[in-house]
Amino acid sequence: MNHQETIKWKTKEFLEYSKNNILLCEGVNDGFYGTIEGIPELFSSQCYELPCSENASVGMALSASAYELTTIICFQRVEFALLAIEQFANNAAKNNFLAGGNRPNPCLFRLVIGRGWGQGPSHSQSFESMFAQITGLNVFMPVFPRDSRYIFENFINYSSPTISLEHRWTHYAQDMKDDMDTNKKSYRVSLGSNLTILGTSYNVLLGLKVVELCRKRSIGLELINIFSLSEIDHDLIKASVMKTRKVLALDLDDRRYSVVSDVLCNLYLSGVELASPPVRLANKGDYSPSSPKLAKEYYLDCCDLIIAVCKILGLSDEERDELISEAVEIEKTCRSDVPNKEFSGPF
Amino acid sequence: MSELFPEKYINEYRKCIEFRALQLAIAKRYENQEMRCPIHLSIGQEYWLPLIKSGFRFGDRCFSSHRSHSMYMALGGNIERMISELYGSPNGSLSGYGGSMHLKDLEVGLEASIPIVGSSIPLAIGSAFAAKHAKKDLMTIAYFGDGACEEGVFHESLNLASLYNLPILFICENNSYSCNTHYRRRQVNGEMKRYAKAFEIKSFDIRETYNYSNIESSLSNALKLARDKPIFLEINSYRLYEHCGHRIDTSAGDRTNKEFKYYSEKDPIVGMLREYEELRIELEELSVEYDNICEKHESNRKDR
Repeated sequence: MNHQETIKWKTKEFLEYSKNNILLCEGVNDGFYGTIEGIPELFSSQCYELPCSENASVGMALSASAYELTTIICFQRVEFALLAIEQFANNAAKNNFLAGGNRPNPCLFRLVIGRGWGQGPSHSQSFESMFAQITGLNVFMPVFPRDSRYIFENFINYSSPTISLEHRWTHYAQDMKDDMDTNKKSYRVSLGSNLTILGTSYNVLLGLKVVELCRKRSIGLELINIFSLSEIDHDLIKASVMKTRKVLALDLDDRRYSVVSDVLCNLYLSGVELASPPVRLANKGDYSPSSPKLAKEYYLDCCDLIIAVCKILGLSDEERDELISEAVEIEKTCRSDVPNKEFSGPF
Repeated sequence: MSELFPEKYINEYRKCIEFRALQLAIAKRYENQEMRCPIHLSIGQEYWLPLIKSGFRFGDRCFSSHRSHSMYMALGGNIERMISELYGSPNGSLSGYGGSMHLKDLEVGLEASIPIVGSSIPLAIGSAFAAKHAKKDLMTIAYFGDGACEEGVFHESLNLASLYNLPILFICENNSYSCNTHYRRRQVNGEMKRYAKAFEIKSFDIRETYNYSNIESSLSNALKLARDKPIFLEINSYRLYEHCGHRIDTSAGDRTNKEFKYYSEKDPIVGMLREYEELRIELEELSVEYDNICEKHESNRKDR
C-alpha cells in the first residue's frame, strides 16, 4: 500500500470510528489526489463540501473540534491555507491555552505542497517554518505511509490541532522495510557511519536514492527523516552526528529561519564537535518557476546531493563523477517535472 | 407608567444599573495603573444586555470580541473573578492569562472573547456546526461590533451559517465607531443587517428608540428563532467612553461635542434613573461595593 492509499484507508477508518468524525474539503467529491476517492459516497453524512472560505473554515473546524466533533480539513495547496493563517495563529492552540486546558481541540489539517507539471511559484511553497513557529500546533511532514499512519493514529489524542504538510510527490512512496524506527517523531530511514543526512518531506526520498547509490560503494549514509517539526528528536540526531561527525542538512525551501537551521543550531549549542563544517542544501532560488526547464534548475536533485556528499567525505573527482553518472541514469527514467512515469497532470 | 421603561422590566433595569456601577468602578480605578491590561468599557451600551440571559439556556455557547465585559456581565459571569482578572490575579476568571480582552467563564457559556476583530466569529460557527451535526439542542451566539463587518471572515462566516443552516445568533452591536473612526469613513452604509440579506439570513434590529418592550420583543424573537437557523440581530448603541481606557473622550477622532452631548442626554441608564428613583441609590451602593473589591486588590498589591 502506497502513501496515497494509506491516507485513504486511515481516513475511512477515522470516519468509521464515530459519526461525529467529520471530513471537510473544497471539492470533497473530487478525490483529493485519490486520497479520499469514494469516501464521501460511503460516509455522505460526515463529509462536507466547503465554500472558498479558508479562514472561516479553519476557525470552524478547530472550534468544532473543541466540542462535539473531531474534524479533518483538506486544502489542495499550502498557499490556500495562508488565507487562514489568522485563525491558525490567533485561535488554533490559543483558545485552549486561555481556557486553562479545558477546551482541547484535536483536529487535522492536510495541506498539500505542490511540485512539477508547471505548478509555478503559487502552488509549490511549503512554509513549514512558518507553521512550526505557531506555538502549540503539531506540524508534520509525512514522507512514507508509516508517517501518515502515525499522524492519523495520534492526532485525535492531541490537545491542539495538527498540520500535515503533504508533499504531492510523496503520495507514491512505499514504506521501507519493517526495521524503520516506527512510532517515533524523528527517525532513521537508513543506518550508516560515514555521514548523517537530515531532511524533511520529498528531500528524504531524494536522500534515499543517494543512500542506495553510495551503499554500493560501501559508503554508509545515515538518513534521518525529521518528520515532526514541532517535536524534533534532537537526541536522535545528536547521537547520529556524534557517530558520523559529518552532516548534510536538506531544506525544502531556501528560506531564512528554516527547519534545518534550527536543527544545526541545536547541534552547535549541544557542543557536538564535527570533523568538517556542516553543509546545508535547499532548492535554489526564491520561488519555483513554472517551466519544466527552469523548475529543473530550481529544485535539488540527486546530483546536488552527491556533489555535497563527496565534498564532505573527501571522495575523489572520479568517484564523484561515477556516482553522478549513475544518478543521471536513474533520473532519466522519467521527466524531471513528474514524480514517476505514471503521473499525469495537471496537479 | 413610563412609555419607554415600563415597570414590568424593573429587574432588567436593576441589572443595567449593576453593569453601569461595575464599569464606573473599573473606570475610576483604572487610572491608578494597577489594572495593567487594556480595557474596553461599554458604558452607555448596557441597556439590552440583561435581556440576553432569559433566552440563553444552560449549555448554549457565546463568543465575544475585545469589548468583552458586556457579554461576561450579561451571561452572569462571576464578577469578583472578573475584577481579579483585570488585576492579573491568579484568582481571575482566566487565572491572569487573558486580562480584559479575553474574558471567559465556561460555566456560564462565555466560551471566548478575542480581541482580533472578527476572529471569534468562525469559532462561533464551529460551535453551531458541531451542535447541529451532533443533533444537540443548543444555540450559539456570535457577538461582535460594526467594525467586524468589514472583515472578510465575517462574510465567510455568514455564508457558512446560511449554507449549513446553523443554529446561531449573530449579534452585531453597532456603536458607529471602530476605535475613534465613524462608520461613515469606513463603510458606505451604516446599517449592518444589510449583510444578512445578502446571505439570506433573517434579521432583526434594535434601534435607539430605547422602548424596552420593543427591545425585549426583538431580542426574545431572535433568540428563539436562532435555535433552528441563523439569525442576525443588529443593535444600535452608543459608547460614552473612549475606545480603550477610562476616559470620556470628545477630543479624539470623529466624535463631536454636540454628538456626545446628545447621546449623554439620551443615555438609557439616565432614563431609567429618571423613572425609578430607587435605582439611583442602588447605583451608588453598588459602585461603593465594586470599588471596595478593587480597593482590596490594590491594597494587596501594595503590600507585596
